[in-house]
Amino acid sequence: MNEIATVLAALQLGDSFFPSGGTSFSWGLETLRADGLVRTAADVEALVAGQIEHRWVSFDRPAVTAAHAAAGDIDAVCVIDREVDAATLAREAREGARRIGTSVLKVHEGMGTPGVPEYRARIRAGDAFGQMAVVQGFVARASGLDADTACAMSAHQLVLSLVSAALRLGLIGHVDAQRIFVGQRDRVGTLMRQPVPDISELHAYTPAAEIAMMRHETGNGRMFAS
Amino acid sequence: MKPDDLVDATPAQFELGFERSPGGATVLRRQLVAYPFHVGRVLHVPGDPAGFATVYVQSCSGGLFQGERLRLAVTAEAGAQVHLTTAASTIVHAMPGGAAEQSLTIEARDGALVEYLPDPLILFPTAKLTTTLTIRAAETATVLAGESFLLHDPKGGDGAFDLLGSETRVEAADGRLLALDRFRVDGSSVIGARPGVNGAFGLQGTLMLVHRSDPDSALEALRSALPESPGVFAGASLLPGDCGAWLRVLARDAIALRAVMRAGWMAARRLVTGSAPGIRRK
Repeated sequence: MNEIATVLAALQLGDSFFPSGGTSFSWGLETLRADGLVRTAADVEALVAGQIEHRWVSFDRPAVTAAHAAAGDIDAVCVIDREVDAATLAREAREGARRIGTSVLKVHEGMGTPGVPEYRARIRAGDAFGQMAVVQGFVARASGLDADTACAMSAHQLVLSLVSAALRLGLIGHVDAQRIFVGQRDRVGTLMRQPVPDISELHAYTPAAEIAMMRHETGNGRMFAS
Repeated sequence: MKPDDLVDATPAQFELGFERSPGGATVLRRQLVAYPFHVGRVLHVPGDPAGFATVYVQSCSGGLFQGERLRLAVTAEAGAQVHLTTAASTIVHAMPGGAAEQSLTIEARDGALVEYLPDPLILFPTAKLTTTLTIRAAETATVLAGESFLLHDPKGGDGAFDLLGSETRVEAADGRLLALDRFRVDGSSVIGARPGVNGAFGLQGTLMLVHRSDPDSALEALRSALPESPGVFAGASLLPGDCGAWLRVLARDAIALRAVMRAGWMAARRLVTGSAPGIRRK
């Protein structure tokens, strides 16, 4: 692909118009707001930064990177997918990431993205779950995007789902949302200069968001699926 | 380095093997304990079911120190029922030029119940600790494992630990991975109190209730232990791999933390034996 075609592919696949279902999830934000632990735009900004620094960089990014590298070897992709699933302990986080991953794969199958039918067959056979970060790396490679671009898209989609939830929860306005995106550019760029942890080293430290998702399972008045 | 390499590199300094005797009592059949560990005799706590064993694992050294690599292994044979705990919190001392590691493997065979509920780790400034817990459970076994930590600067300042790396693996009897909790955090991030990370809560506790025969009941038990008070933020959920449930709590003080951990323990015990545990004053 030439450079412009690559940028266009990244814009298409990273856009909220892409039907991944990602904006149905708040990843704990709905409960954090209901419990009074996130109240202001500054809180939302700090939450987004915390999710990037304490989860995305050490959990999603290595999963995206490993899946991108393994994309031609469906057995290896399934191993990564199962590892990510086993390491996603809050049920709504685990099942939400499965739902997004499987939705993305379904759309890519319709688009004719190579390798996707095999991945979906393995999910149907119970060998894999279609974990979001793994699917992101896999389809980015299959769409001709490099690993850094795949990681940047994964970070962008995380920020997108959090700010879009915050907007609908009335925590921030449109300008706040765009400012938060700008603020994450340098953070993600700097973090991406660090070595990528191996898939056997996936780790995260976001207990408040995890607990919020666990509480969300039994909470009332739910607008989001997590 | 992977935890498995470390286990292979040095023999366990601490191994306990429990069995259920023909009379039904859980007995300590095998014991290999080297410095700094000390194991008290097997106790029966009034209020526990007949034959239920309680064992205190103590350290003579007064905590965890720089350069220590401790290996522990506990096996519960079919039908054994044992509660393992510590006599007090474990101080993780300052480590200006090194780190410490502790790994524990718990194997629970058919119908066994193992409770491993140590008191909290107290992380001193510059402490660097990596802990690994591997739970290998038969389909009919139950394992309840707890971990909790708080930070403390004995000089009264705001010195913070450098690293807590914690890994809990739940495996089937054949070693297949079912669930994995791995976090790494430094004290300044905890003090940073970011929303969604740990918020304004400085203490954390986790209970893993591996109960493969009935994960939904395990979740129901842990949910029943969740408090609704402003000083704590806690939740429970089903573990991946249909292997049980887990609870995580963030708290503002050690009393609130202990109350949740204890409520979770009581609910888990009731699930397996039908009655709450006898409580022994520490």
